[in-house]
Amino acid sequence: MGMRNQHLALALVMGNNIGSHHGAWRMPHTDVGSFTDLDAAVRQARTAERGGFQFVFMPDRLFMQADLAAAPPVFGMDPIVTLSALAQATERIGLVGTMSTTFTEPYVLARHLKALDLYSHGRAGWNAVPSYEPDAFANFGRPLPAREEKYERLHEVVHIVQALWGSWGQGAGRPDKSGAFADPAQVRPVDLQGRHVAARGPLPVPPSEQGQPVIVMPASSGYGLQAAGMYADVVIGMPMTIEEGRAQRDVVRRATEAAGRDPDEVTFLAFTGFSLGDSQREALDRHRALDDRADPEQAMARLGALLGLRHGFAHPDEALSPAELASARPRLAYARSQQAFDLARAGWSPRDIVAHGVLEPYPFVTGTGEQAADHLQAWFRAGAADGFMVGVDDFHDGIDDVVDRIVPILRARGLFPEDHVGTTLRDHLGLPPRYGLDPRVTGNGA
Amino acid sequence: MTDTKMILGMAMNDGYGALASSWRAPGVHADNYTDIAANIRFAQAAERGGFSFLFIPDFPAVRADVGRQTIRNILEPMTSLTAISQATSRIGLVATGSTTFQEPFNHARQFKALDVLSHGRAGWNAVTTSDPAVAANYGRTVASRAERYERAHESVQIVQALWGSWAADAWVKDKESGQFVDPAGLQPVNLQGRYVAARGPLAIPPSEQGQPVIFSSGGPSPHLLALAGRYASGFIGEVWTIEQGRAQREMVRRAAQDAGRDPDDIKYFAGLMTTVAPSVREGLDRRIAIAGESFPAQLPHLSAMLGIALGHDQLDRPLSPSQLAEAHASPMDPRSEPALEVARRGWTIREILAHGVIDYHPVTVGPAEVHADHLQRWFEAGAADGFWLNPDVFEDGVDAFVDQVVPLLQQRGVYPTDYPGRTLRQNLGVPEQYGLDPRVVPAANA
Repeated sequence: MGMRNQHLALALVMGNNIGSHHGAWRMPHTDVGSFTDLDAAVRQARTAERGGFQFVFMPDRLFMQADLAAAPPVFGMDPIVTLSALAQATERIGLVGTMSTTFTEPYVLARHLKALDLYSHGRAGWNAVPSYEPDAFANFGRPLPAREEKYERLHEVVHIVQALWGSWGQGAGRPDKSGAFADPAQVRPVDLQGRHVAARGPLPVPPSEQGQPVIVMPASSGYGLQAAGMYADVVIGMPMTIEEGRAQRDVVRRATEAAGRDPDEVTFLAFTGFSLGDSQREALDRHRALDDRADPEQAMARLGALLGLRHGFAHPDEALSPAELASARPRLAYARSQQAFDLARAGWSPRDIVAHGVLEPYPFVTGTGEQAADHLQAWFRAGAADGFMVGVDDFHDGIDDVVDRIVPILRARGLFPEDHVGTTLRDHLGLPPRYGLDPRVTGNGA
Repeated sequence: MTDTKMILGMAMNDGYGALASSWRAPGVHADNYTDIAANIRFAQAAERGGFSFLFIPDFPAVRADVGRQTIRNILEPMTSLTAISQATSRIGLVATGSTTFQEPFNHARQFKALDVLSHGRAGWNAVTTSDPAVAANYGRTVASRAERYERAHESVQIVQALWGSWAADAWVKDKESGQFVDPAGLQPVNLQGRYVAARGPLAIPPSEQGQPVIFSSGGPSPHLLALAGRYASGFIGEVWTIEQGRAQREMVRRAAQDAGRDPDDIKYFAGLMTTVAPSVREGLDRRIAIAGESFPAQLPHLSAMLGIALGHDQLDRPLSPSQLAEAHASPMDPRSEPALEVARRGWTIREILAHGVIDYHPVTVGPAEVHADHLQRWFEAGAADGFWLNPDVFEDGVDAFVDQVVPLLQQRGVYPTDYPGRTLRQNLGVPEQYGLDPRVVPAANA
């Protein structure tokens, strides 16, 4: 397996244009209107591009996750529309969005994504996920189907989308004013009929500079893992520890191999987040300012639960008392509990423990660029990830922080390329060419 | 009525032009189909001419031989208009979307996202689809007309209800109190039709024009008129004479009135294909040079329209006196009357065809006065509130119209010298609307 990329990959997790921390919208500097302001998204994507990030990522769900009374939506207005706009304002960075396979016809998905790929000159990627939330089905007036149908439809959709992408053959040629617009023999119907979806084709969209969009899938198990092994160029996981990361990455690589592919063709990315400062104290204070504007009481309650404490903290700004420490019953098998307990024993106050990011949904570094780079290096070198999905607490300056504080260190250590490799997303990630279906996965590819 | 000015829009397609062989014309870039920069160029030219909107028809299937012809359709409407929105600031962006094959939640979301990103310039041409080739691309069969229109009514109502589900005053953005949205103003729509349904709400606040403008297009069947009369603020028509235009415009206005609306709430647009040239002679020569190869094949059609036999040997001669005496406009084709008029002016058969008498719309050929006269005559006769233009060749045809015809229309006082407003709604002169129209759907305010 000596083929492994010597550089790690970085992707910026975008969304509501404000930040991943629920308190970010209430910071004095925040323009709350950023949620609908494309100029804000453009600034963020350009900053990531300046930092050499391989792609920006628009996560998505097809329903409102909360009532928005106390915080903005986690997600943006619409991924394909936002990415189409960002394509015009950026030149190199990849553009990846989540689009559900559950409620949109494969012809529509194939067309949207390949148009984005062409208009961005080969920088598009598709995070193909099945929806399985009752709230999403309600927005489409449908009952929740049987669980096995979730991935059955995904398989059909991804298969048909890829076939449609390949239906305008690479040999169809470029329009020749004194000859043919395209070679009709190379533009053929796909005639695919599944149980859930179907399409005749062809899709009249010629190849982009990278052929067709990159396929991304979430790390999963069972049917989801099998699908990722068959189709995904990139798999995104949320491991909490290096051990979990290695295990997840290995599982994904094995699934890829089982599908008849080379495991080095798949890039495994792990979520991670940062609050950065000149010193760890400064970074902690940055995070605390955000915590203060979210729900501090709930944070204390959640930390208490992590530590297995029955009562609230007597002094949230002071180190835990020996009595509090003695009564703690952390669930040590759970990485978050262990981390919180370690921090408590090291004498950090409850508010500082929370500011370390122990309540974040993924591994989090509150500290200096050096500390953040150490974290990424450790995970990458240990084989826990090929790269990272970077969550940023507060977009106001947090993306610049990552670019200016972490990236130069990674470059100095030889862990990150000095500039974008090539012009397409496939180039940036070192992925092999792919056009249409993968014959190793689908047999003859017909 | 005295102060009302005509409204201009422009159709966009594969980036070449309205003439079938325009992609082969001198000066045209053969790659325009896949190069969004081309359509951006044309959109900017139209904006310079004060055009109120770009109109994107859509036929999501390959209908011609890609060896000899181009796709005659834009690569993909939403991604294209979103890209164009980033390079323009005033022109409206109207895309066709099928209610037959798309889910209301997806439509509502994408069009409102475009509306917000473009600061109130989006429009949705809500159509039904009956073409078997398109249905096959969505893996479906063609539904009955009654079913298609029932689904269309349901779809438009659900889309508009979703648009209104983030109330105009709901976004309080109160950093002090911590209230992001007033939840009372962000409530589900809970609409269930026979074919489509959605719970909502849709987490997108109002744009500068509230919500996208609805358009209708096609032949004015009772089904379509009932749909347009209820929801549409713009109607994209296809007529060949002033009389047809007046009749259709009246039908559309009456349909709005029947639905409880003001007839001025819906604007009727007639199509026009333009060839701007220093003289009629040079205009005809331009058309013959680009599209003349297809003329011999059009002879039988022209013969049928005029009720006389026309031979290939007659291509370069006008109709003889006896042919003229015998000729009569076929009642089977609405283009016959204008074709006969051209024939009576003594043009040769080739020149008659070069006038575009068998094209999809009336065709004007020649210097600025020819086009301005046509537009002014139709407008002042009440045959249209405005026009959707189809330039023969985009690469130079848009600039020619904007630089030569627009100033003439302005001198004559029939066309505005600047945009009347900032939003599509303002530039069309149609009233504010947010959510459903209570005049049309009285019960829906619940």
